Amino acid sequence: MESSEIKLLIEKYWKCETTVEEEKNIRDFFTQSAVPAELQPLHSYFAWQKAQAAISMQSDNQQPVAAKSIRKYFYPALQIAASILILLVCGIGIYTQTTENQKIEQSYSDTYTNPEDAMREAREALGKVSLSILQSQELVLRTEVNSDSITE
Amino acid sequence: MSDSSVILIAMQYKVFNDRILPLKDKFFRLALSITGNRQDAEDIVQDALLHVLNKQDHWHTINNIEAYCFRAIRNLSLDALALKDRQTGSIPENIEYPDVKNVEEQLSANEEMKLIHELIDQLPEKQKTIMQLRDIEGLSYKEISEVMEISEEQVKVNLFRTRQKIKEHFMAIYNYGIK
Repeated sequence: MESSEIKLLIEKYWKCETTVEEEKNIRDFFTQSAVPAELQPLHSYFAWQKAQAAISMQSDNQQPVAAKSIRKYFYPALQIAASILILLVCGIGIYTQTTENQKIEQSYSDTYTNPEDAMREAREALGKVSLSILQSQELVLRTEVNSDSITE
Repeated sequence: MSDSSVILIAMQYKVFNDRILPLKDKFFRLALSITGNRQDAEDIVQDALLHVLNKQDHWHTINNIEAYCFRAIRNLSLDALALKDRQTGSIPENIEYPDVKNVEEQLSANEEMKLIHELIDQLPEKQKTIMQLRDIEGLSYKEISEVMEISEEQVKVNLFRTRQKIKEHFMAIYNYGIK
C-alpha cells in the first residue's frame, strides 16, 4: 500500500469513517511493511492493537477451573466455619461465666423465704449440735471416772 | 423426551460449540480490559459461558447470541470491578513487538507500548470498551450498539472522542503532523 494511501486512511480513521476492513488494512500495514519515518510514531499504537488482539486465555487445561473452584467454593465454606468457631468460643465463654456467677450467688443467697421456717430449721440444727456436744462431754466424763478408778 | 426436543438440544449445543466457544478469547480480552486482572477475567468468561448455556430455553428470544454474550461479559466485569478496587492494568506480559531488530529498539518499543496502554487504561469504561470491541475485536458499529445497548450514533460519538484523544496524545508527544 502506498504511503499517501495509508495517510488518507489514517485521516479517515481518526474521523471514524473507516470500515472494519480498512482498519484491518491499517494494522497490517504497520505490522508488515516498512513504515515511513513520518508515520513511525503511530507504529507503536497499531502494533499495540495487534498485540492486544493476540492475548488469549492461556489455559485450556483444567488449572484455572481448579483455582476457581477453590476460590469460589472453598472460601465461603471456610468463612462459615470460621464464624461458627467464633460463635462457639464466645458461647462457651459466656456459658461458663454465667454458671460461675450462679454458683457464687447461690452460696450467698437465702435458702428460706419464711423467717419462722428458717428459725425452726436453725434451732433443729443447733439442737443437734448441742446434743452431740453433750453426748461427747458425758463420754469424756465417764472415761475419766473409769481411768481414775484404774489408777486408784 | 421427544425426538424434536432431542434435536433442538443437539442444535443448541452445535450453536454453542460453533459460534460461542470460538469467541472465548474475545470475551476474555474484553473482561481483561475492564477488570485489569487475568484471574478475574477467566472467572468471568467461565461464568458467562455457563450462564449462556443454562439459558438455552431463551435462545430463540435472543436476536444476536454473540452480542448477548459480550453484554453478559461486560456486565459481569463491571460487577466484579464494583466489588473491589481497581487493580493494576492489564499490560500483556510478553509483548511480541513486530519488525524490531535489536534489543535497544525492543526496549524503547516496549516503553511506547506501555505508554499507550496507560493512555487507553485511563479512558472511561464506556469509551474503552467500545474501542476494545472495534479496534481489537473488529466488531461493526451495529454489533457494538447491540452489546452496549446504545444507538449506533452514540457508539460513533464515543469512538470519535476516544480516537481524538489518542490522536491528541500523539500530536502532543511526537508533535505528529497529520492535521
